[in-house]
Amino acid sequence: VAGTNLADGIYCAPLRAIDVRANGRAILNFARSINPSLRTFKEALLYLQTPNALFGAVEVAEPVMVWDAPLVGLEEPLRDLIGQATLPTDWEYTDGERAHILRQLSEGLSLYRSVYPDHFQAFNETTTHLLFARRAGSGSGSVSNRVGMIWLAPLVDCPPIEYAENLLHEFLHQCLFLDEMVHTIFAGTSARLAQNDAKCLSAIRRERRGYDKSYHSAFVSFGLAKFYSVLGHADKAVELMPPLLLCLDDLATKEHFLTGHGRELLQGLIREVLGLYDRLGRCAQQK
Amino acid sequence: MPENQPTEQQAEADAAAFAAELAAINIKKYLELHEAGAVWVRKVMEFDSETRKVADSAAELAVARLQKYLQQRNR
Repeated sequence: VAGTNLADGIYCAPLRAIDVRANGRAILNFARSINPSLRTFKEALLYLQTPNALFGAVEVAEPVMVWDAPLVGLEEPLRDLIGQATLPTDWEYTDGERAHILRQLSEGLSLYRSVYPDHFQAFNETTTHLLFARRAGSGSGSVSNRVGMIWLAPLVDCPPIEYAENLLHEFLHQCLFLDEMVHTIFAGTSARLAQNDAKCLSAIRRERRGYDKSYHSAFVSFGLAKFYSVLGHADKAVELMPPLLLCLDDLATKEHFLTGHGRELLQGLIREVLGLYDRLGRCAQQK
Repeated sequence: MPENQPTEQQAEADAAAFAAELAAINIKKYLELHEAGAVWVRKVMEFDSETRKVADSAAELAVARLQKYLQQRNR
């Protein structure tokens, strides 16, 4: 039964590997109706999101790591991901920094795989590129017109667990983008959802943000709380709960910004979060 | 079974075709709406203790409201 064991997987739609794969098949089928030569979901993703069609073949097995985005024609996607018109002056990591980051990242990826093997597989099947670029005050990012690409801005001494958390965090955004693409979650544009009457408390940033941003934050926060529970860091999971509950309350009150599908997902998430909150409370009492 | 009654297989195929058609409409709409892209940047945040205190005390109330919300939706 979903949500009965702290050590279970991410059994919450649309974050499950099964959802990612079903959405991936729908996207590939649609892309093939335009271009029958497309072979994989990753190719379909890049093909559909212009002007990514220029970037050619991608690795099927795992994401391509990109340290020098402008040199390989990926400056525009990187700027989109960072949300800035120009790259920061110190965006590039030195060779020494790259080597250190790669070692830590590799351990972070192993940790993600060990906790959620099937989800990690879906991460590899979906993520086309990991783009590295330093930006002070930011850790990572995703953007809705570059689905498949994840930007990472790690501090050089970032521990492996933070890489695992950041990768999971960003991939949960990707899961939601894919579901929005295939099923439609929001009953309004991002601009409409950013207006004052639609804003809700974000479970991650703990400030009022657009409805879509806060909706994403709730799913991401839940995924991270589960991740930390599985790793035995119940304290970190507990810390995420109060803003997550308030965020969900806000989202439920303004559910008219969601489609029927979006509401079903929200109700599923609320059930999961209340179950996790209850179990974390019982675990704390047993100590 | 009446001759014009769809078989289970045909009904499944029709449902799959409908789902594919709906997905195609949704995907086209998504690509159009998100041409400029909405950005989700994870900022490194320091949480202020005052906000946390308020959130902690409000969480129990939120739990009760969420339980009520689910009950109403499940009726």
